[in-house]
Amino acid sequence: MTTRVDPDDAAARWIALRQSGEMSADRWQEYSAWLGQSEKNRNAIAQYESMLSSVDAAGDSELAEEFERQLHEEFENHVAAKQHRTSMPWRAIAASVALAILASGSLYVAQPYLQKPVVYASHIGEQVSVALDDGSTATLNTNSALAVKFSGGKRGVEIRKGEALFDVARDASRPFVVATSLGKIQVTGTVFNVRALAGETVVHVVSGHVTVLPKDGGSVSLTAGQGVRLNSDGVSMTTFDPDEALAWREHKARYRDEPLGEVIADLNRYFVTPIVLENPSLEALPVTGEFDLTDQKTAVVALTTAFDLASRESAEQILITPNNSN
Amino acid sequence: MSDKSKTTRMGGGRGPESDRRLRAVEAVIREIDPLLVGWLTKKFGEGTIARDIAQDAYLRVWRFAHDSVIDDPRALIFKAAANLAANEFKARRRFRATHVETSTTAMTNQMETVPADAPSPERAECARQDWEACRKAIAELPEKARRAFVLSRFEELTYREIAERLSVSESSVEKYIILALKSLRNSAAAREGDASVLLFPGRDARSRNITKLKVR
Repeated sequence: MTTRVDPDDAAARWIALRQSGEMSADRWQEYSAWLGQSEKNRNAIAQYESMLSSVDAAGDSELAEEFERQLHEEFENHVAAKQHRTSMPWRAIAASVALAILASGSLYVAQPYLQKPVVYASHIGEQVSVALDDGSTATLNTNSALAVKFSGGKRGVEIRKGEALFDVARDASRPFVVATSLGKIQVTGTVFNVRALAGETVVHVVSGHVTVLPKDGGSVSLTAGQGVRLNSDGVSMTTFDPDEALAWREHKARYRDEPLGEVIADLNRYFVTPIVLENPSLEALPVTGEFDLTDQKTAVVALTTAFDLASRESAEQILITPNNSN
Repeated sequence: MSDKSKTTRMGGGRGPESDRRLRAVEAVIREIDPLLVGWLTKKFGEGTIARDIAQDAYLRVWRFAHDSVIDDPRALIFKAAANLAANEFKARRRFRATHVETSTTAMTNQMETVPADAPSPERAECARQDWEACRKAIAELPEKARRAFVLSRFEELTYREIAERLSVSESSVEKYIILALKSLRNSAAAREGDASVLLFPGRDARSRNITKLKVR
């Protein structure tokens, strides 16, 4: 018949399995049956459970130590990845990312712990910098969200909404691909900004080289200083002034002859209470200047002063009207 | 969180030495914030709690730096964040459904489990000694067995996730966990001084021999 398994061995195996969360309904039945077989089986389980109830009391401390260790490892890996970024071939980068690398000599790159994407998000008015597993950095602007999923062949980032600046670690074997609803941006190592708002995606390349793949086909190559705009009109190349395009990193916005309507739409991304223009005719007024993105009141005062307008604040909005109205 | 600036607005400390320490802590915070927030986000699957824990850790270390010398601000921040994260982790998992576990515990539980009310001083002391003994027993486990056990029991990872973390096979993970369970059980039994339990391994050997005799 069946070989007699030592009750203690079997009990240990059952306890381990119960703990793993991988017990199916069938296994539970098997377990119940095994428990029913003899008192030795039940006693063996009881001893483990009584030990575990003591050990669980130490769980917080044990977990804290494990987490501390993980943080230190993460830091070592990130430092190592950064140091090797521009000069080392990918194998060395992979090797210096240590930890989960199997020393088999075959092509293997560290897998993310989870198979589902990791989502990073920022609140309105907030900037968040995140270090990615490969040594790259993504800095999220106001009200933005990224979903990151790295695999053996690809470093994938989806901009779910908003804007981010990417400083991408070089890894020629694994393209870094940023996806928006209107197209993809593909790089091997570079610094570029992507803004994905409703109806439009704008890419600015700060350094390095980028390939943009619009969703309807074709491809556009960009180098430092170049940009591209994707919207319902199609694909159009732009140049840009880094002082303006990346001013958000300094919590500032700079505009040059920008229509007031667009300036307000842009400023509204950074504040909870929207600014609203009472008259559509005001939308075309050209704005030139620098605004502090942490201070909505001063921005409103600046705009109303410059164009001789008035403002009226309520709970839902800040309304800008022509002066002497009412 | 409505705070728009990335770091809390820092004021002055108590004198130039204190100020210097505070600036040093702030510099470390700037350096590691992306990494810490990233790790916490992965751990909890979302960013709000990640930022809360990071800010809480920074605040604690920054306050500590007012009056105390800190050799390694980064290590202290990691320790603070790890503790906060572990607490939060447990709090979030506390209400997970358990399956048939209650049937065996109800049957043969001789040790007290989690006390519902505040324990008496004697019980508290006993629990404290017990806790220290458990920590010691866990610390004495071989490295991989200890990590596999902690990742399974306290971080509640699957065998596959643990295998990735430790760069071993899934069957090794099971072996490590079983090794840890047996070792911890033996330590607990020795502490108990429970004669019947101490005999258990012996009984095993005897019953194995008996089995062999019968089969042969």
